[in-house]
Amino acid sequence: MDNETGTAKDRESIPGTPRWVKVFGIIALVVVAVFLVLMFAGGGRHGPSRHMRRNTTEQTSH
Amino acid sequence: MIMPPRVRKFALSAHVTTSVGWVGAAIVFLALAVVGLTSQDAATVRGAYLVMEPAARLALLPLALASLLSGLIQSLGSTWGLFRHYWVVFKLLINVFATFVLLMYMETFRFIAGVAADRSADLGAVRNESPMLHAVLALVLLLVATVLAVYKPRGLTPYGQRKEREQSRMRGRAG
Repeated sequence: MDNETGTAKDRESIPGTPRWVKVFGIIALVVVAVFLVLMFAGGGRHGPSRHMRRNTTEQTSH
Repeated sequence: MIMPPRVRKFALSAHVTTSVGWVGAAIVFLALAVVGLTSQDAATVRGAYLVMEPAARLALLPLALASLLSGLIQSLGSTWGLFRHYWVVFKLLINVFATFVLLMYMETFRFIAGVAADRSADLGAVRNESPMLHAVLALVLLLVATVLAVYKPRGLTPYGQRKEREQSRMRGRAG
C-alpha cells in the first residue's frame, strides 16, 4: 500500500492507541450498526428487496 | 514475504490504478443517478438506469475486486503488512465493506434495469434515488481510504507492536 519500505518503523514511536483510531473506530461501528439495522430491522427492508417492493408498489399504484 | 522493489512498484501501480479507477467509476454512477432523477426525457431516464447494471458488472465490480486484491498483495508484500498499522487495517475494512455492499447491490441494479426496460412502467416508477445515495456513500468511503493512504497516520496495532519488538530483538542479537 506504499512504496516507502523502511519508513514504517521510523513513523511509529508512540505506544497505545492513537486518538484518530478511536474516532475512526467509533465512526466505523456506527456505520456498520446503521447498515445492519437498515438491513435486518423491519423484516429485512433494506437491500434489493426493499427497492423491489417499493418500486413494485409504485408501479402497480400508477 | 517482502517483494523485490521492481515487483513492489508494479503492485503499487496496479493498486493505485484500480483504486483510482473505482473512484472514477463511482463518480460516473453518481452522474448517471443524477441524470436518471432529473432528466425530463423519458428515453434518457430509462437509458441511465438500463446502463447501470452492465456498467457495474463490467467496470465497477471488477475494479472493486482488483483494488481489494492488489491492496492485499501490496500490503502483504511490503513492510507495512496487513494488520500491523491501523491505517492499513481501516483501508482493508473500508475496501471489504464497500465491495460487500456492491456485491449485494448488483441484484438491485438488475431489478432497476428491469423496471427501466418495462415500457408499461411510468417514469415515476423508473426513477430511483437509491443509486445516488449509494454512489455518494461509496465516494465518501473511497475518499476516506484515499486520505488514509496518502497521510498514513501513525499507530501500530497490538500485533504490529509485538512484531516490532520481535524485530528489534532480532536486530539486537544480529548486532
